Amino acid sequence: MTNPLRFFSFILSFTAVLQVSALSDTLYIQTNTFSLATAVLAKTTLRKDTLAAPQNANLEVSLNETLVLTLVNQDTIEHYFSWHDQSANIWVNPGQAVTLSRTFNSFGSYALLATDFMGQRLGASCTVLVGQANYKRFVWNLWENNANESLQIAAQNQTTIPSQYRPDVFTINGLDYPLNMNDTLGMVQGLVHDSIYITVLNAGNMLHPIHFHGYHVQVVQSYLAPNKVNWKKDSFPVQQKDVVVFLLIPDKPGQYPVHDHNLTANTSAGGYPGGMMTMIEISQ
Amino acid sequence: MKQLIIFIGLSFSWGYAQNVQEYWLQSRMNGVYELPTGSNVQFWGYGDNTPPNPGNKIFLPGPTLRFKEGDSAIVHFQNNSPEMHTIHFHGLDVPTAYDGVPHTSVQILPNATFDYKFKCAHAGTFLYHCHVLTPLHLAMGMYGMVIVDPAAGTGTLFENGPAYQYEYPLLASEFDLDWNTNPLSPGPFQLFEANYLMINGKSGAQLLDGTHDLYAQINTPMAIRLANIGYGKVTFSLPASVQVAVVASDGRPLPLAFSTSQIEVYPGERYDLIVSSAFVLSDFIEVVYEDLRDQQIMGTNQVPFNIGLLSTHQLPSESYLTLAPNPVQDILHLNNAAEQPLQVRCLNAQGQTLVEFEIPVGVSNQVLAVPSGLYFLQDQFGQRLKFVKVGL
Repeated sequence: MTNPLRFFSFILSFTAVLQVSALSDTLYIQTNTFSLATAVLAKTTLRKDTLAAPQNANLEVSLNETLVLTLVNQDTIEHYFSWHDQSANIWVNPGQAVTLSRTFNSFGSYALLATDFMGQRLGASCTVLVGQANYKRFVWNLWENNANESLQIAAQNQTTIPSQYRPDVFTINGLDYPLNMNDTLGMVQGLVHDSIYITVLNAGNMLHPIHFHGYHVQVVQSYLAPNKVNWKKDSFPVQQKDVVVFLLIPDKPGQYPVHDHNLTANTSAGGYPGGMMTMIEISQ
Repeated sequence: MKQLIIFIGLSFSWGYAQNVQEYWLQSRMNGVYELPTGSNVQFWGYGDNTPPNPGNKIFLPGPTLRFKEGDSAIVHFQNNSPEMHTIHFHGLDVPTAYDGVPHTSVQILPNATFDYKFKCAHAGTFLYHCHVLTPLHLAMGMYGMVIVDPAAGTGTLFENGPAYQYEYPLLASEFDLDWNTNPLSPGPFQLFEANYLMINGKSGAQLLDGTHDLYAQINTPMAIRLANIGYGKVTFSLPASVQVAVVASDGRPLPLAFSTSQIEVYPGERYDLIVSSAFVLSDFIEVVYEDLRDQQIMGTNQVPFNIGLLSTHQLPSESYLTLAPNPVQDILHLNNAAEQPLQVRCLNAQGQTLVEFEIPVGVSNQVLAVPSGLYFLQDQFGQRLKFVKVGL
């Protein structure tokens, strides 16, 4: 290395390679009581703020970006979390904060899911979309529960999974239909021939078979059903804790529902239509 | 005059480049379903309404609608019931106006009619069902299958797809008999409890009466169209010895066909299989129904599955090989109705082979020098006939 200029240039380029962009964020863990369309229930959430609202957070990072995430536990019990594709648990004591980081090197969607009993049953989770900023993209964070049981779990009066599980509240992004009609994260809007990515996280306690009216979608990602990637489907079973990404390229304009085809989940407190349903609106 | 020109133009454009396939369907809410116990429950459903003799019956499931890829479909619907109904063509990706969802298209008033129009763009297996108060109307029986053949017609599942010579749809569904007994007061819809589990509208012993058997000749491809319109998970298990290729789902060919003997079909899904066997079989497709909420097994069904030597279905009593008399004293009279000689082994009750011989096509006689006892003749396809030898 006889040329000092070339040596300096080499050091600069090495430093540039080492410099990985990072995004810092903070999520608050909290359990609250909510009133949905016709039910009062409890839910644990991961949110960017401390508002008592039923929606979990959705984060976005660029490809190869590092997410530095601080989890602040506002609850009175400890919570555990893990990434949907990893087994290592992150433990957050009540009133404390833990910082974790992850670099995302693959296009797709990820989820951080609670693994403790209360957090898991009550749907604490967040989605992370990687490399999708240039596309129209939407997120459906699915969660259901029995409203009375959710209140008992939040009060720590119920600590085991019931042998006969009969949920009566079914939500997308924390809201049941038609309350979710103003949810811009979940209600799909686009144009004919758009490439629209839809991330579906099942943070609930049972499998949800999602049916698309009007269009077939291509399965881009499924962690728990990787053999179905590239299939074109109108009905897809989203397994518990799976993160599925669908690519929708609409061939025509229209207004169509998307819903759980286990039709007991299309209800709010027993009434129809309700529950796990949203809409796709495509313009010319 | 201008209106006439527009009308002629529209008619010409509709009928010129496309094959129009029409069906006439009606809905009624007065179906009577006989349970295996002999008691009756009510069901709602669809029936044929083809003029000039439309009839007044509905069926469970409703009539299968069959189109060809590229067809322009018109389904003339007449609601002959006291409540509103629609038809949702599940998976056919029809225009919003004909999607059958009340709040985005139309719901058909009592005694009203409506023409559903759509293009059949893809070959495959699809469904149709009412989308008014769907948890109840569907659970009461308002559904059926739609099959779209390739443009060339039946015989392959899709263009350039695998060929078949036999074809069987297996549509899984469920009743909550409390709802069918009292549909006006079903209670909260999320409390549906499936307690009567069906394949093609039949359950339990109804499937074993000989009229619901799947049958194919050996080494001859059979297409099975699986669909689930119920609210739980349905697992179809085929006999382990048969060859199964899963080739399509939801009306689209799979990027890569795969082989399995167990196919899980979730609510709203469809799978198309090509099945064949190199052996004669008399077995069952086992069907297991599971509650999605707590993974409890709700029940099972068996669908008879037979592979034989002849091109047409043989009932067990119509075996291709018969023997007489039975019990036999000295000469066994054999009749081989198969289209080839049979290589058989005579087995004793312990399964030991005593003698092997060939049975020619047609009638022949065989002397069996074996002691008195219970014996079996087993051919190269696995079929066994039991006989008793006496008095030597």
